[in-house]
Parts: sequence; C-alpha cells; structure tokens
Amino acid sequence: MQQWIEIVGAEGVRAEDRVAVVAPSNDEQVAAVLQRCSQGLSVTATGGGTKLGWGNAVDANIRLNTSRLSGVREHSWQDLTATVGAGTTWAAMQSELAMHGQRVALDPLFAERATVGGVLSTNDCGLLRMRYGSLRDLVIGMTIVLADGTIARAGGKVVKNVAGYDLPKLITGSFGTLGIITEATFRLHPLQKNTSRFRVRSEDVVPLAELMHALVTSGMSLEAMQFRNEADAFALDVEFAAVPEALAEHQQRLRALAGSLPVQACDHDMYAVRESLFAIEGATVLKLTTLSTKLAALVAGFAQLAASGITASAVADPAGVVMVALIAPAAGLATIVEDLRARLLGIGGSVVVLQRGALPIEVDPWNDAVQLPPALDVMRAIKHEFDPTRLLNPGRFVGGL
Amino acid sequence: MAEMLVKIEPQASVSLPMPLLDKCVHCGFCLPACPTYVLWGDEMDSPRGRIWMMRKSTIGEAAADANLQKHIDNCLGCMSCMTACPSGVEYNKLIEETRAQIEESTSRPLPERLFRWMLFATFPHPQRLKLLGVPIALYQRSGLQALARRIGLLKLLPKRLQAMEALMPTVPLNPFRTLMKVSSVKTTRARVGMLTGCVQDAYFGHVNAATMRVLAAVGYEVVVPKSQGCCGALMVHSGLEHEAKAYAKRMIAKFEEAGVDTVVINAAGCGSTMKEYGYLLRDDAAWAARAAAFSARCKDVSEVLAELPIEAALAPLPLRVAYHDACHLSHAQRIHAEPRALLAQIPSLDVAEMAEASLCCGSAGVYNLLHPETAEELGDRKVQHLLDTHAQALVSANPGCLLQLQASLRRNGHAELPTFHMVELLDASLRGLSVESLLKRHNQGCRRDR
Amino acid sequence: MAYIVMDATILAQLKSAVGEHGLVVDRNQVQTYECDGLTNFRTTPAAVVLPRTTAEVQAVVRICAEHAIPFVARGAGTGLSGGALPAEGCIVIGLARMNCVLSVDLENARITVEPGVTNTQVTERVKAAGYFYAPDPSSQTVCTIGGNIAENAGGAHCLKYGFTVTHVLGCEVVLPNGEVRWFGSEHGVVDPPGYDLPGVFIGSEGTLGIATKAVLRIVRRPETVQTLLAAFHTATDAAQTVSDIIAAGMLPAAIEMMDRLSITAAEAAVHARYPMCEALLLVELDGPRAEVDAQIREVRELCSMNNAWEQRLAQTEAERSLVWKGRKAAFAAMGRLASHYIVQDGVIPRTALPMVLAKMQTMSEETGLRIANVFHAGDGNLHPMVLYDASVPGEEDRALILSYDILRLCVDVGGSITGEHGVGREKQCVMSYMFHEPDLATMLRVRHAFDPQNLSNPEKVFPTPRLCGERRHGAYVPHPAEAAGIAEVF
Ligand SMILES: Cc1cc2nc3c(=O)[nH]c(=O)nc-3n(C[C@H](O)[C@H](O)[C@H](O)COP(=O)(O)OP(=O)(O)OC[C@H]3O[C@@H](n4cnc5c(N)ncnc54)[C@H](O)[C@@H]3O)c2cc1C
Ligand code: SF4
Ligand code: SF4
Repeated sequence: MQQWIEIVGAEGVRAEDRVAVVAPSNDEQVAAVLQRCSQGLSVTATGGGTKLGWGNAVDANIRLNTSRLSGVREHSWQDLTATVGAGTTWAAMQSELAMHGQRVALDPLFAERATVGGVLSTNDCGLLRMRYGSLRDLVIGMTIVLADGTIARAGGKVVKNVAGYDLPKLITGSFGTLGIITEATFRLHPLQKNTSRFRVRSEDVVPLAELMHALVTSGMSLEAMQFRNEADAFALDVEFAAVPEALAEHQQRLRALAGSLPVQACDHDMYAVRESLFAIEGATVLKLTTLSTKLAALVAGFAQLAASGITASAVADPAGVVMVALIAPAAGLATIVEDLRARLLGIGGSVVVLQRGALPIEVDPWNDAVQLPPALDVMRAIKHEFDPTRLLNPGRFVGGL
Repeated sequence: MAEMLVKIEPQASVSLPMPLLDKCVHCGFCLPACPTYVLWGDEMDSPRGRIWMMRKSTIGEAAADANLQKHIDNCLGCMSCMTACPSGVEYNKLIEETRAQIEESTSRPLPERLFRWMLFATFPHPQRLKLLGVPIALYQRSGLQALARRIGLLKLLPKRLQAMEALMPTVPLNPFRTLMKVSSVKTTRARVGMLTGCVQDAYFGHVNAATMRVLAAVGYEVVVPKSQGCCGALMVHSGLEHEAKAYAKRMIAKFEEAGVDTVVINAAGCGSTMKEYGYLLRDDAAWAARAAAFSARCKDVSEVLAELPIEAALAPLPLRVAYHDACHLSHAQRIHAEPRALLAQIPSLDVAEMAEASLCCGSAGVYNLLHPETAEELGDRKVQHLLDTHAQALVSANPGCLLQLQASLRRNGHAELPTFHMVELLDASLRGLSVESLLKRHNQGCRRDR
Repeated sequence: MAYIVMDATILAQLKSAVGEHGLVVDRNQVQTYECDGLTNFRTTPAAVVLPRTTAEVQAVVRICAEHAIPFVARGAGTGLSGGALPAEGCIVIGLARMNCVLSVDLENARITVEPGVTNTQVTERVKAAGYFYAPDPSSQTVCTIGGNIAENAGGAHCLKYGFTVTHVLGCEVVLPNGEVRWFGSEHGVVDPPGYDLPGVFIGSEGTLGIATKAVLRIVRRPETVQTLLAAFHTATDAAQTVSDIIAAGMLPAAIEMMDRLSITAAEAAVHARYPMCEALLLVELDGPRAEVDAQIREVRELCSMNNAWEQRLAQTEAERSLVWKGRKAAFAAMGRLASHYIVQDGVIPRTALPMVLAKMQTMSEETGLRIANVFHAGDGNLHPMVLYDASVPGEEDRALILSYDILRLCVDVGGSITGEHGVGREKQCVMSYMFHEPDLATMLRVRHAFDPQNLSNPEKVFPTPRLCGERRHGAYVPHPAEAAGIAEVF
C-alpha cells in the first residue's frame, strides 16, 4: 500500500477484496503506478464498474480507479468539441455540455455511473448510433498511458485529422488491454430541440419488419429506432428529430407507411429499454450482431422461446445489434447460446455474453473455442507491442488478448 | 537485396516547350477519361504518364526509345483527356509535336513502315480510295465477302489486314458519282463552302449529299470547291508534319479561291484538324496569318445548323436512337450540345445517351488499322453500351466512328442495327421521309452483306 | 545517369507472380510511377507490378518479404502528400487493374469492391437504386477506394456523413509478411469482437499492408438537396456566417469556402458562373424536404445578417453539379494561374479562421508568394495553395518552407497538419511539431506489430533522422548514393 500512497497520496488508495484500489489524479501518476507495476503486477482499470463483468473475469493485482481523472476540461462549443477526463461519468459530462445546448451523440448503458473511459473501452453504443455513428466516429483524440508508463497523445482536438495512426480507434473497444485511457476528446452535436416519439405494435413480425426497413430508407429525419418483443406482440419505437414543419409531415408519413398497424404517439423512454434488460432479476444478457435484414427474424425467434418456457426480451437496433435478456435453466441457456453462435457464424455475426446470469461458466463470453477473430495474430502482435508482459487486463478480451 | 546501378547513355530525345508540359499538374483527372488507361490500367498508357514521359525526355532524363514510341503510338488521339483536364493542358499540341519528333528521330521495323506507307498512300486520296472501292464493291456484292467471312478465310490474314477488311463499309456501286456543284433553292443565309473529305467522299457520298440538301433547305448557298484533297488529319496524327502542312496549304488555297465566309465540315476528324491549321502553320511566315484566318472560318455542320432554329418543316421520325459523341467533335472541338439540340428539333425522335459516353469507340483516324485489338475492345465496349440503351439506330457525326461502329456491330452479330450520320436524320426529316424508307438503305446494304 | 535495377532472379520471380504483362521494368516506363499528385518529391522505382488478384498481390508481397525489398501500393496516384512515392529500389504495386465491383447488397446497404475501383464508380453502381457512397474527395472521379482507405479520404460532404473510416465495414488486407487477413467484417456486420483493425488500418497510408477488397456502407440519397452560393466582401463575414449556422444547431451536408484566387481558377476551368468576390460560401443542405426548406431560409437570413451581397440558390440538378464541378476542379485548375503550386491541408478550430487567414496574408506579403484558399469551412479543413514558379531559382524551396510554416501555424492554434491528404513524405518532418516523441513512438509500436521488417511504404508518415535530421524541413533530400556522387537519382 505504501508504494501506492507515495505516488497518489493516501486519499487515492484503498483496499477492496484484498486488492489495492489506486486512484491517481493525473497522467503522470497513472504512469508512475504502471511503472511500479512492471515488476509483474497486473492491472485492471476501473471507472464506474458498470461493465466489469463484460468479457473474461480478470484477477488483477491492483485496480486503477479513474474517478479522480474527471471533469470536462475544455468545451470549445463554437468548434463543437470537448475534452473530458476519463473518470467523468457520462451523465455528468452530458449535463455540462448541455449548458451550451450540445452533447456527445451517444447513449451508453448506465450513463449515471458509467465513466467516459469505461464506455470507450467497452465500445458501448446505444440507439443514436444509427444516425450519428458509433464511438469510433465521435472520439477524435485521446491520451493513453501504456503499460510501461509512456504517456501518449493521439488524434487531436479538431474534428478532421489524419495525422499519424488513428490510435483512438484502436483503443476504443480494446477492453483496457492496450493502455489506460486518461482523457478523451469528442466531436459534439447539438441537442435536438424538437422531437417526437411513436410506438407501432403488431402481433405479426413481418409487417413491422417491413415498416422498419421502409423507415430506414425513407429519408426522414430518424433520430433513433428500436425493434423489440413484448409479452404478446412486437413493437417498433421510433423517434424523429427535425424542425416542427418536418415533424408534422413525418408523423403523417409514418402513419401512411404503417398502413393498418396502429401508430401511437408516446412519451415512454425508449432509451431506457436496453438498460432494463440488465435489471431483470437473474437474467443472462447477450449482445448479438448481424446484418440488418436478419434482425427481425432474430427477435421473432426469441419471442418463440416463450413456448418452451423461456422468457426472452430482445431489443434490436437497425445498425445491426440485438441485445437480449434470457431467463432459462442453465442447460437451456447454454444450448441457446451455442445454437445462436452456430447460426450467426456463417453471416459474420457474433454472440457476446454481457451478463452471465444462470449461463454456465463453461460458456465462453467470446466464443473463443469455436470462432476466433480472423486477424487474431495481428491483434496479438499489437498487444505484444503495447503490453509485452501482459499487465493490462490480461486475458479479458477475445482470444485471450 | 541484390541490385546494381546501371549507367545510361543519353540517346535520342524529344524536346517539347516547357510551358506546355508545366501545365500538367499531375492530378490524374484525365485517367478515367483515357481509353487506353481504362483498358489497361497502367500509367504509361495514360495521358498523365505520356506527358510525364515527354517531360522526362525533354529534360534529358529519358531517351525517346522504342518504349516511348510504343506508348505514344498507343494513344488514340481522342483528346478525351483535354475535356477532363481542369488545368487546361493542350494535349493535342503535345502529342502532335511528340509524334512529329519521334517520326523524325526513330525508325520503325520494315513491315510496320510498309503498312503505314500503304495507309498514307491511300487514305488521303479520295480518288485512290475510290479505285480501291470498285473491287471492294464487287467483292462485297458477289457474295465473296460473305463467303470469306463465313468460312473464316480471313483469320489467315494478318490482324491488321483483317481489320481493314472488317472495316470496309458497304460501298455504293458507283463511287465515282460526284456531287452536284452548287445547290440552293432560296438563299436566306450566308454562302458557305463544304468540305468533301476523303473517306467521307469515297464511302459516305450520301452523307455529303444529305449535308448539302440540309444546308440548302435551311437557306445556305453551298459551294463545293473541286480537288480539295485531304485535310491532312491522318498525317498530323501520325507525326508526318511536312506532308500535313502541304495538305493544309492546298486546302486553304482552295477555299480562299471559293470566297466563302464559312467552311462547313461534316467529318469531325477533319474539322478538328482544320481548326488547328493556324497552329500547324504558326511558324511559316507566309502562311501563319492566312491559316489562322482560315481556321477561324471552319465550322462543324452542327455548329452552323444550330446557330439559328430550323424554320423549314421537320417531319416526325418516330425512332429511338443512341447518339455517339465523336471524340473529334466532343473533345477536340467541344461540340457536345449542338448535335443534341439539332436532333431534339426532329419531332418524335427519341435520343438516348450511352454509358461511358465520353470514351472513344476505337476508330481514331487510322488507329483501328494500326492497333486492331485495342480498337476492337473499345468497339465491343461501345456496342454493349449501345445495346443497353435499346436504341433502334446509332447516330454519330463522323465517318470514322461510323465505319468502326458498323464493323463492331457486325463482329458482335448486330449487323442489322443501322448507323447514321446526324445530318442524314435531319435530311430525312426535312424531306419528310418515313422511318421505313430511311432504314431501307441500310437494310439493302445489310442484305448484300450476308 | 543511372538507376537501380533489380536482380534478375527476383525479376523472374516477380514475372511468374504477375505474368509478363503485369511486370514493368523498362526505365522509361517505371519513371511514370516516380511520383503521385505531389511532384516535388520523386524516386524511380526498381519495378512496377500490376496484379489482378489478391493472390497475385500476395505472391508479390511474399517475394518482397523474402528478399527484404520495400514496396509501395498505388491506386490512381492522386495522393497529394507523396504517399505513393516509391522508396529507393522499391517495387510499386499498382492496383488499378483490380477494379471490379464484387457484390452489391442493397437490402443491407453494402457493396464489396476491389481496391482499384474509383470512388465515383461505387456511386455509379448504386445510383439507380437511390444510394450513394458518401465520402467524396474532390478527386473522386479518379482516386481509388484503396487510396481512399489508405488516406482516410474526406470530402465536402464528410461534415455530415463522416470520412472514409465511417463507411468501411471491413477490408481484406495483404499483410507485409504476405499473409492475407480480413479486418473488420467480411459480411459488413458491425462490432466484430477484437481490436478495431479497420480503425487503425484506414488512414495508415499504405504502411500497414495492402487492401485488396473492401466492404463499404452505402447511403440512401436524401429526399432533397439545396445548394446555396453566397458572396461576401470579407472572409471574416463568411467565417462568422459558418459559425452562426453551426451555432443555430444545423448540420449542413457541406459548407465550403473559396477565395478570389480559387474562384478565378475554378471559373477558368469550369465556367460555373461563380460571383467574383473575396469569400464565397457554398452551403448545401439535404434531407427531408420540409426540413431543408426551413433550414435554407434560416441559412439565407444568416448570410444576409453577415452582409452577403449576393445569394444564389442552384435551381436545377445541372446547376448544382456545375457548382460542385467548379469547386472540385479548384486545385487542379490552379495550374491555369501559376506554373507550379503546393496544396496544403491544415486543420484549424473553425473559430480561428479569421486570425489564421490574416496571418497567412502577412506571410504571403513577406514572401512575395501568392496563396489561394479553398476551405472545408464546416470542419475547419483549410487548403492553402502556395503558387510559385519553379524556373525562378530558389522559389520552390521558399514555397515549400512557406507551406510548412502554414502547417505549424495550424498546430499553434490547436489544429492538425493534415485533415485528409495524409502525411506521406511531404509532411513527415512536421509530424514532430504536432506530436511529441512518446506519441510517435506509440504509433511506431503499431507499425512494428504489422511490419517488423519495415517494408510496406517505408520512410513515410514518421520523421526519420535521415530525412528530417538536421535538414530544413521538406527540401529534396538526395539518396546517400547520389550525395556520394555514385549515382544520380531521378
Ligand atoms: C485535384 C485533387 C483533389 C483532391 N481532393 C481531395 C479531397 O477532397 N479529399 C481527400 O481526402 N483527398 C483529396 N485528394 C487527394 C487524393 O485524391 C486522395 O488522397 C486519394 O484518396 C488518393 O487515392 P489514390 O487512389 O489516388 O491513391 P494513391 O495516390 O495512389 O495512393 C495514396 C496512398 O494510398 C496507398 N494505397 C493506395 N492503394 C492502396 C491499397 N489498396 N492498400 C493500401 N494502401 C494503398 C498508397 O501507398 C499511398 O500511400 C485530392 C487530390 C487531387 C489531385
Ligand atoms: S488532368 Fe490535366 S493536369 Fe491533370 S494529369 Fe491529366 S493532363 Fe495533367
Ligand atoms: S488522346 Fe485519348 S488515348 Fe490519347 S492520352 Fe488522351 S485520352 Fe488517352
């Protein structure tokens, strides 16, 4: 403990489950901590701890907590950019940016607790992705500290920049295995002033799937959309964001496209649906990726599980991601996951376990035993260059990265 | 790595004016416009690469060797690159100058020389072409041609002679029929002189006749000077500068004698050459001014006709045609809108645009005779685009393109698809001919062909 | 004069890899590959290969790996930073012949192409179905998807739609060791588990391998498009208008700005009938009709408020495409105003624009060199063009120095040395002005992971002591052999 206190001060160190939690307050301290670890101590960076269960469990020697690396450090609202400490919670960042009517156009899970660094590391994108792109399209700069204590800045503070390799993209979604993110710069979007939300329900999946496709190709100003199953029907949640004149017209067009399906204007928080999956008691939560044309069929498949006594709540984002919460006996769950993986493999999709629930421990969160990334050798080479002694989150990520 | 440094001895080179070369900023915008680059995808066969080789040779960093010659020869001279070039590079001047210098400084293998000699000895001379035409016509009509084509006898001929045979149009039996001298019903517009051309005169007499009728019908007084000879386009494009200049001078003198305000040209290749006489003869003190004045008077028939709306009655011509831009019209003379505007005046005529409209058909003067494989590939590509439009006929404004496209259509089994010069359609409409009678002429030619 | 010739056994291997017609070694011929769109730097390659398949590319790269021969990929050679410039004794791998569209999946808005397909060809292929490929570099009719991937090419419409990296879902890559791998998803599925390899490969300027296939996202054509030209007396007014548009919460499809010199050049090339003025804004809005109509009204008001003296809305599709043709021809058209010029590619925070323009004006006066400006105003990407005359002794060097000074100015105000053209050879020495040693060292770790032998487009992007050591930035640096008087490299 003493060695950590020397670096970050007593207020930055505590013990948790017999593991030291060290909270540095600047880049240099992060570097010093990591250098100290190079004797062979493994490190897991933690933010709000909302997604520590994603990926393989890691028994790290110390936890590097980013909570003291927080705050919106620069908000150049006229240039639509902001630089934020990695320990800032997503919600705190958004409320500060909102003072100038702006935001990072992304709605990750558990925004109240999730930190910028954690959201980046797990590449958690929400429904806004369809319109604004995923994290990799919004992060323009980053400061990272490598395992050997090197402090590197990558990218920049301007929206457009191709100088050197785009390390922020490489680090985004790398599950903390390449370096510790201490700061990130985002491109911002204005908050929408006028929005309207609708829900369309149908007992039959086909007309609703067709409606979803029609909306995607309609050219209307869609802000977000999700397709999901409810107890006895399917629902499509739609949000438009545009000038009032356009909103009125969009509503009409939506009704026209929906035909006989009932369109209901509604206020419910469609952005909270994904999060609610994790709150279902004992649920196993999976993230599936597939082609957008296959989404509806997947959701329909989950709905059918009800017949065999399995509850499945699935939410599909037209970008090609389905999140599903399953409640089933352990054996059944394992079969479902295996079966899904087999089916999605051929079209390049994947099934990742986000919350284990009753799923047996033998089921790999990434599917390493069956399907490794095609360029795993390149990924390993990168890992080796960045963290040759495997100190950072060893083994958490796919393929043992 | 094993490597060695090789000493290079300076050899023959070409030398071009630096300001012309400097205009090329190496942006590559011309690449997709260039037929040889589109076909082969190598830099040496792109306009930018050719200009780069010219530059290298000019600044003494490369020799004008056989490889340079090869890539310069490969150029179709279609000038599509000039249309594409934002920087205003005068590629026409660069390539002509380079060809002239290469022709002087390097030698070609004997068979190559002979073939070129034969071409240049025949083509610029309408009389010789016509003489060639009599046996050709007999050959075509006797059924010998069809037989020869069918039994594949021609496969035995060297590629270039085959190409020549394949390009032979169906020749009117009396190629010596000459044009009426002057024709005009009621003259309301200017007095114009008409170029008869060599290939046009020999094989497309009906186009010349149609041109005269149309010009007269809209009110021009048309004069056709005798013994005009050839415009020299083939010479210019092949680097035979001396010969080209001689032809130019004769042409200028002939039309000066005729005392016309405008020289009307219905063959795009001739037009683009004659409009450049001023440049060709720029260093000839006695001729420079005369040539420039002459060039300024030269106009394509579509330019002349599009100046004023046609007042004479135009009968409907219910037909779907595809318009093919002759490179020497659209690229070299930047005449793109006029022929379309004219065709648009014909009631019921439906004009389709082809994909890759700006790409050469492969004709390019005598290119299809010198580089038959390349020309065939380009021709096939055009035919495909033509078929995609579902047009009933092809229209262009240059005899070379028409010959090339007819041959390409035959090769692709679509001999039945008729081809017309733009003025033929105007002529038919002005004369109130029906679509059937218009197509009849083509069909006769076709039947003879089989 | 002399040049480097390859060992005969290597040539024989190359010939068997790509066939006789795929190998170019004659000096006159390979010289045409000695530079790209940036002609200030030139090196004659030892050979050029023109493969037609991934297997052929792979075979060539294997030969290179075996003999430690450097190689460089080349698309259409329109790069403006010397990206496709060969290294000494290097093999150019030209991908122009790999130009097939392999598959189109409209339902999922995906298209799979070979790297030599041009940017415009992608759009042409899906246009009839109502789609387009969004990244639109001005060179789009010529430049290839492979080159776009390598440079992470952008264009006027990237303000709204994002750059190349946003639109590439996966690519097949021949690694510098000759292995073939898919990065991202072969099927165009998002979020494949693992590191974001496309994210780092795109924009890596050919230094991490050669892309041989790409799965691209295509975008639905907007319902309507409106293009407005607005003429201003001062750049400050125009810049303020841009800020006001953004502050009003609008995200136009494009906002471009041109100065008097650029307008003159573009006008000469294309006759777009631009109003002649100090600063011309070209604002394009697209989307649902009701929205675009409302926004264009707002934009016009903002222009008036900032003293625009003329505003013109393109009335037809033909007018609109002419307006864009002029803008896209602006670089190359500069050849009409000056015998030589250097295009730069700095990025600045948009708010710094008036200050940076004023500073450039001073720099121009001090050096006596004219600077023309074209500007992707929406995202702060500045393209100053320094005009010069190479036949005046020393002027080329002065122009280069001025262009680098402009880049340093961009960095000083918090920007970047390149927004879309890449670092290449041209800007590698300015990299150390923008990044610190550890930043560069971290990037080099990536390089080393992919290409430990340093064969794929070596001596690019990163400053090297040989090229940047004590020397003045950017001036032509002779090959050591040349300097020693053994050989003259041309
Ligand atoms: C007039 C003009 C205007 C331009 N405007 C723009 C603009 O608006 N926006 C913009 O972004 N750029 C612009 N450019 C720059 C240039 O067009 C782009 O950088 C383009 O992406 C280069 O494509 P290319 O096919 O010509 O590539 P090249 O120039 O041939 O190569 C560029 C780089 O890509 C690498 N490369 C090529 N193919 C592959 C491959 N298959 N795999 C791996 N690496 C490869 C090369 O090694 C090189 O480093 C412009 C250029 C010109 C001349
Ligand atoms: S378009 Fe013009 S300037 Fe550009 S490379 Fe071709 S000839 Fe040169
Ligand atoms: S004239 Fe035609 S063939 Fe020759 S370089 Fe230009 S475009 Fe290519």
